[in-house]
Amino acid sequence: MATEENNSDIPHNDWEQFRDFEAEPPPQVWQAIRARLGDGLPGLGWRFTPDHLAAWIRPRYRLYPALTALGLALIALFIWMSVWPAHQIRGTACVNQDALARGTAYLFRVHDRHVPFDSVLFYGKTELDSSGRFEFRNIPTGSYLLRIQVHPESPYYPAHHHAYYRDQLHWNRATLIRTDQLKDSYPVSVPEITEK
Amino acid sequence: MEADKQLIERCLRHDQEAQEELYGRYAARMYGICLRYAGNALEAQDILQEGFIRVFQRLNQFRRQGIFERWLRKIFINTAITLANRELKFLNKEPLDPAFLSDEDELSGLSRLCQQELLELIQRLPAGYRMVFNLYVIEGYSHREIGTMLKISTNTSKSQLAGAKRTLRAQLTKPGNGNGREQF
Repeated sequence: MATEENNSDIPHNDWEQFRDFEAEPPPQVWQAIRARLGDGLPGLGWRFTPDHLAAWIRPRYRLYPALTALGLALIALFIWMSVWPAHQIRGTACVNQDALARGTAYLFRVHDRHVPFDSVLFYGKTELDSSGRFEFRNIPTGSYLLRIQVHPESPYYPAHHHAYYRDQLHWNRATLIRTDQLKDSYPVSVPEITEK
Repeated sequence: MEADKQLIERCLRHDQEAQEELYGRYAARMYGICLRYAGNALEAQDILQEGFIRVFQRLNQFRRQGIFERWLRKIFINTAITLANRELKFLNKEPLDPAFLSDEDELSGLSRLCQQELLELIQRLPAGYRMVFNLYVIEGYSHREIGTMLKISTNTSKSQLAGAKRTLRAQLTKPGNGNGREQF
């Protein structure tokens, strides 16, 4: 049985020569080492050479994790910049300059105003408070349509039914809210429906 | 020839010629070590490259009264262990087979092979077997030391060594491989 002290089954003497076994490495190994050391040596500025590339490709494990990490970081940055909710849209709804207490504010995300059914997506809704105020938080970057819907139990209903920011009955005439040009407040005035 | 001490001093001053000289002085010997620990020449070159980078980066940690070549060997063995670490993860899962340990057959046939033939046999071993075989048989580390270096148990080290011996023996007795140099 082999023990820690007993190597008798494989005499060490036989292996001594093999312990000092020598072999000539190919010259490109030194070139790769030279390239990797070169950056830190005085008198040598950074420069990109094929040797640098070779040094970073071999060994493989050095380059690929770095590239993967960089790629993931770029993807994360792209996602963060494109969808990270960072904006707020707030405002007030009124009817004839009186605050609208009973109503709902709807926010729609607009990708292409000219193709409404395909491009306008419901984003969220919130109830108006007693002063007619509403607020949407953590809004992703983009363009939005804001709609105020008057509740049926409101005294203004049905003469005042709904409005798009600022005071339009039809979405196509509404003013788009863009997150890159946000204002402090978006007042919506609900007009009276006269055509019906 | 300039003594190691002066050469190291020059390397520490980032003297490029000294670095090349140091490499030239030890590359062949260290490459021999790398070849034993690696599965093939490309892996060995990776270990050699990484090892020398570590040597130059840690040269200031070398104690001047020590033997430089021993320090170098240690760095290259550690580099080989680090680079082979992924392959070595299976080591802890392999159970100890007592039958291996009771096997008293010696590998005397191996000593009659030439170094190149020995190298080829060792390189054909699985990574775990090769690592333990190198550390125990050639470097002379104990199983306890190997366990610490590879983060495995003593029994696993013994089991790996037994497996390595069994595999080598099988290779030696293969038809065409021969049991001894005379049959090559």
